[in-house]
Amino acid sequence: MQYNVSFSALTRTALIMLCLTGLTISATYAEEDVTDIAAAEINPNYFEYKENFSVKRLFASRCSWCHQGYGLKAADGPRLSGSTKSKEKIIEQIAYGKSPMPGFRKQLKPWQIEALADYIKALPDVAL
Amino acid sequence: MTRWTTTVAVKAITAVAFVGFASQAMAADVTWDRLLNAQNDDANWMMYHKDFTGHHHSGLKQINTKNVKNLKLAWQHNPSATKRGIQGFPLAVDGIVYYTTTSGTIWAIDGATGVPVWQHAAKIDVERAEGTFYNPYNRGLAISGGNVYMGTTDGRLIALNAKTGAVVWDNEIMTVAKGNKGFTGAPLVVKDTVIIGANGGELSGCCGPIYAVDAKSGSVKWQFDTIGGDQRSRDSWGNDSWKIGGGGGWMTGSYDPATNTVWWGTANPAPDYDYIGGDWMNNGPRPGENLYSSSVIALDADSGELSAYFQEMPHDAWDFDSAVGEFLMIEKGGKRNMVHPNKGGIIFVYDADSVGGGNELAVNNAYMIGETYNYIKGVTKEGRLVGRRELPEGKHSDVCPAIDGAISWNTGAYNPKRNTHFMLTQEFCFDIEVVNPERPDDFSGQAYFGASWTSKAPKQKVDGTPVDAAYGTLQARDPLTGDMKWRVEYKYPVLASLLSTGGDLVFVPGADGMFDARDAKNGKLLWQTNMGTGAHGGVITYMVDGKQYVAVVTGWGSHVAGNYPGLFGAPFTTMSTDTGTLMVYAL
Repeated sequence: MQYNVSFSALTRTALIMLCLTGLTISATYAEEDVTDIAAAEINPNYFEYKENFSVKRLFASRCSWCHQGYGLKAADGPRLSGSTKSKEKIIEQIAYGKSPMPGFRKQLKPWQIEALADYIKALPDVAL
Repeated sequence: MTRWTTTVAVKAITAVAFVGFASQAMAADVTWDRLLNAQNDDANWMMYHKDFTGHHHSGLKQINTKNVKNLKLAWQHNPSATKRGIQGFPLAVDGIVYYTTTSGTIWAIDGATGVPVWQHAAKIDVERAEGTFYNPYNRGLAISGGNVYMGTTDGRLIALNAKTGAVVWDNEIMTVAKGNKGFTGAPLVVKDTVIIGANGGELSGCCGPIYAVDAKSGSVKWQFDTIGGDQRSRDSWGNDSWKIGGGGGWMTGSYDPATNTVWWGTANPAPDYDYIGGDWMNNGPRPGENLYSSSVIALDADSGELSAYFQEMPHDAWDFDSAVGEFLMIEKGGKRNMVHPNKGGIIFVYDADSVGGGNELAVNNAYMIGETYNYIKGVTKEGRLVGRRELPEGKHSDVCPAIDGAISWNTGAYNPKRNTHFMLTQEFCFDIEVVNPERPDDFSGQAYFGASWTSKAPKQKVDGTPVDAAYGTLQARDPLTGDMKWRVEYKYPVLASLLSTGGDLVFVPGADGMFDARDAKNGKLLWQTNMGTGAHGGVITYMVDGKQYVAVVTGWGSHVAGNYPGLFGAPFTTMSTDTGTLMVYAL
């Protein structure tokens, strides 16, 4: 069964601005936490769903039991940074799980799952 | 507390019987009288903790300090794919060994030859079970009255005929109405009742129930909610946060026949960690002490009424719950003591007779066995925490121990002749960032944490001694005073249970797959074999036709084990997490 996700409706202009902003943030935050950089790129995409949305806060609340270091460190679950899976595959795995990973389709809203997938794809290929 | 009546639903699921291959040995009925006197029956291992003393000690001494060097593999059983390894505790009754593997498969094996007698694979509601983190786990079974009993990750309790494996009854005990949770721990039989507790301390439902189920019919006789079940509990969770507070009792407790009391350890509250820090009595996601999470509870075995309790971690801010199922009954000087280890590395010594009336248990002593902790400064002899290190919103470095605790969920063992309690510790820490998590919907069963973390080695011991790597210990102590008799350090913390025997041995199944037999007197290594993969389950001994056997389960992979590749590298970076074997040794 295919999982239906309501994708956020970003305008072309917003996408371009975010890309540019992302480049700027990456350069500016060279000494900063890479998870902050990834989250800063993703969070504005979802403000229309929740004011002051924080994808790292969502990640900590639902994913941290198995994925340490906001996804940078392998533990009970694998390291997520550097994932070669497509965004769609990541969405599917978050939604349906892959035992022992639980499925979150009943726990998270579609846009929250998409935000987590975007965050994972935005993480650079680095490990703690 | 709520009384339940459940319609018996017997499902016609047939066990796979290996008729014609079984030996002559078949299990006789395990009566209540046999269970009540199990400490005098060393040929059999009839319940998770062997008997109601909880000592994990057998008087068998055919294998002893003088001849253990000759111990060798008698047989082994490979149960096919075992996701996250075998975590259960085998039972051995009248020549048959019973054990469980991933997600609720039971095997009955001839204890002398290793020939399978029957197998039953529970048909799990995958849609439900795989909504939680615990979906592969099963940690054992109980036996009585001609049946074996097993809980499942989709909230059912199943009774099978011990001789044939045929389903006697198969009932959904716990629905998803107050959050999707299930059973991973082994049941405990008390008289004509099967007792089992729910998992889900990290899930935002409630109420972490412990059930008493009629052994013959499978109907629920009583239910005790570890959170939100009485007014005292609800008053200790501000803003009705008990509705999302987790709770549970996911490991197997014990029973004290002298007072007709069930002793059980309870799970942590949700969310794990509290961004509000030191103002937790008034603010934050769960204001108050959060009774009866991270507590020891004593329940009247017949009614389920709360007889007494002690909250080992008031407002648990570290996930150092009390779910460890080990309860040692130790009588000394006319006093009856109940000794219970807490995940935070504390041993609590309770007055076993201070039950009744629903009040706090009396604590005779409490002491730390962890070596690198800094989440508190210590504990008083009355069991009160001293110098709590709260973790308010933000980053905190080198918090020790990590969320995995200093003591994991498996059990130690106690040699009564030497008055020596063998215990394990795991010594590693983490860096943590605590956040303000979003409050989930009431009774939603959502994962509910308030932090992200990264495990790491400790920098120093409590006494200031520098440390440069994570490690573990095997400690031999007087369980009442805490006085250390000997101590052995393990490069890789041992996560399996321990076994003490009348042969003056203590058996230690290692994380790296090395299985040790040590001298109970001084910890000297007397025998060692390589089992091929790590162990984090049970170990027992039993006798068939005058021959003593030692049975241990192997297989690797769990929340705690997941830290090992990062902490230690090889051999854990390549250690399989979907294999496991029942290994049986004899002279």
